[in-house]
Amino acid sequence: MILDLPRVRVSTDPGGQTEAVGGTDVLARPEDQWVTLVWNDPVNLMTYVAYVFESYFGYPPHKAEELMLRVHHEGRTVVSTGGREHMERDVQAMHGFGLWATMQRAGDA
Amino acid sequence: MRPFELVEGRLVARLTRDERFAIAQVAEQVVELLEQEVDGLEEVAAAVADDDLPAALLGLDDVRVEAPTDPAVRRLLPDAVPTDRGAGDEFRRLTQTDLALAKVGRLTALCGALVGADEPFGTFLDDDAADDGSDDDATGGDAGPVRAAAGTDVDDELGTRDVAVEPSDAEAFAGALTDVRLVLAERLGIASDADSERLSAAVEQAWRGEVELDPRVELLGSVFLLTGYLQESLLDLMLARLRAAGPRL
Repeated sequence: MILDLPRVRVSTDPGGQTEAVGGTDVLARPEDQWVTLVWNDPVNLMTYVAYVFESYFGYPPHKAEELMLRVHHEGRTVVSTGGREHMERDVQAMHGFGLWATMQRAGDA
Repeated sequence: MRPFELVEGRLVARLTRDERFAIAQVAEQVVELLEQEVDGLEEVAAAVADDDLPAALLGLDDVRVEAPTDPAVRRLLPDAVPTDRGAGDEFRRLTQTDLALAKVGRLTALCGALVGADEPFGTFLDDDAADDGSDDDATGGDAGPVRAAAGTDVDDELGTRDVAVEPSDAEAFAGALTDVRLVLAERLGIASDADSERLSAAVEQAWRGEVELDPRVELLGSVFLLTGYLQESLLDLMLARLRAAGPRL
């Protein structure tokens, strides 16, 4: 499976800190990369899944829809990539929304 | 049931007493399930409710966090790292109580939005007890005790009322509906899209009086469908609102 890396937008704030937006932790080394997977389930409505991807990850509607359809048709898909702690936050958030999410090392995906 | 609509800046649905109470009853049982399966949850919840943060943190320290055994609760609090048992246990230790607490909070809020403070919810299971011996509700002559906490009451003989959700609470409301539906799906044996479609068709036939279902299946199945309709209408409004706000920077 080819990893689907979410887009990265790096913005510099006045304090000079660099922040990655969009689900990718740019500072993590490749060997520390983890992924968050969302799995298909017969309960959650497609609109709900798309809403979560747009609202939580900030993905644009077409990207959220594409990921949602991939979950639906392929059974699961990678929704974010980054360092382990970052993925822990994403998985916890997905569980909060009631989506079935797991994380694993990027190489195992 | 009338699905959610935007009314004066709020999201408003309209449900009969039976519909509201059936959903609230299931939501309440999901709270009970979480409390049974997540060790120490009630104590931590009580400490948080009392604003006693030290006690809440102590409570968390004492708790031995284990994976829930009930498959429905397990679906609400799933294994995060199936490829690495140790990492998964660590994740559960760090997050499970918080996650369960958040779910209990919003399920309780869902019940509050569905059942008016004046309504005898506890008697719902005793057939017709709520309607017993008086027509006060129907005549509305003395409307004093029959007022929902929020929204415009219709208060016809079916106990129809508005259920109003502030836009800022919509995500929590939708999340609580999701948890209710996940637990119902497990209890109803819905494991695939086809199962879900079969159940929907059967329940709708039962509503039209064309088939007779096991009463428990009909009740749980009805709540599964109702919460699905509610969630769908709520989500349409939430998505429109999110997109109107524009891309996040």
